[in-house]
Amino acid sequence: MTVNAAIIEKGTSVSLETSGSSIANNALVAATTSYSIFTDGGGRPHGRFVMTFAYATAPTEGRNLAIWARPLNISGTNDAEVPEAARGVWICNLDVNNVTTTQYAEAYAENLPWEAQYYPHNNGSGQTVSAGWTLAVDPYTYAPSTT
Amino acid sequence: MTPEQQTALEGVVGRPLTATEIADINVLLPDRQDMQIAKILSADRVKFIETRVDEGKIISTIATIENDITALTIGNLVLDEITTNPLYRHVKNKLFRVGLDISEHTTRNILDLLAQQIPEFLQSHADAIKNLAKIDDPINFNVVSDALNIAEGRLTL
Repeated sequence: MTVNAAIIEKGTSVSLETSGSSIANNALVAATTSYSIFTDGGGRPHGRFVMTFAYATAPTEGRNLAIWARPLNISGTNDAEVPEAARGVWICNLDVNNVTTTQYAEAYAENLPWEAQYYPHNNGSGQTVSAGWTLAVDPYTYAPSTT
Repeated sequence: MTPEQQTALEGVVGRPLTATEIADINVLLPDRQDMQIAKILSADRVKFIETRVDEGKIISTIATIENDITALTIGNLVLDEITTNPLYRHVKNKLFRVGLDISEHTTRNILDLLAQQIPEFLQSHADAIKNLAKIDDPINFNVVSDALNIAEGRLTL
């Protein structure tokens, strides 16, 4: 490794949801815990989102779970609007397989809102995401290598 | 099924739900199996698209029911009636120039009228010609999902 080459420096994983309620097709559900890149991510601006989820009935393959954000405390203690058509902050997509077993998916997003509530959106899969899904974010940034 | 869900689904299909549909959909609603709900609502749902038939198509469609010689004989009777009966003096012009659009309500009624006027031209022959314009009209499951999400007060994009 070349000294000062750009490497990934990651922080401690932060749980945003430990057991989410079911998500009907084309609906969104808020993850319980919000996330701040400063207080939760140690100032790291990027995140690797990891979601575990399952469908009781196999969904349409090739669809996705989209993660949307509602920025918080953007003007004093005032928050942005709840995600709706044309007002959301899209973060990333997690691919969905047409199976009924538990699925694990990750996606990377850079320059996250400083503080936000995150909402998985069941984007056209045709079936309901079962209750019990989890969502976590692994904060990361780029740092110069020292070796 | 709540009244709001029923109203939403009836808005999707444009008619009241039958008792059987309500019973079948009630089983699927707790888990919101929207694809299966859409299938139930799509049963026997058809629409008519613009489809032009000329004299040859009339005969060949009858030939799907009768043998070729019989179809030709019956087809000739239908075409002769259209050609000679003053009632169809403007219909024949359209038939021979651009074909008749059998998705149109009037054209479909004309075929039924011909079936009454010509003993050899059965209603089944008229129906076969009319059905050339008929296609399935399924309801997309996303339409069902969006309607139910609003009825249930869920967050949507």
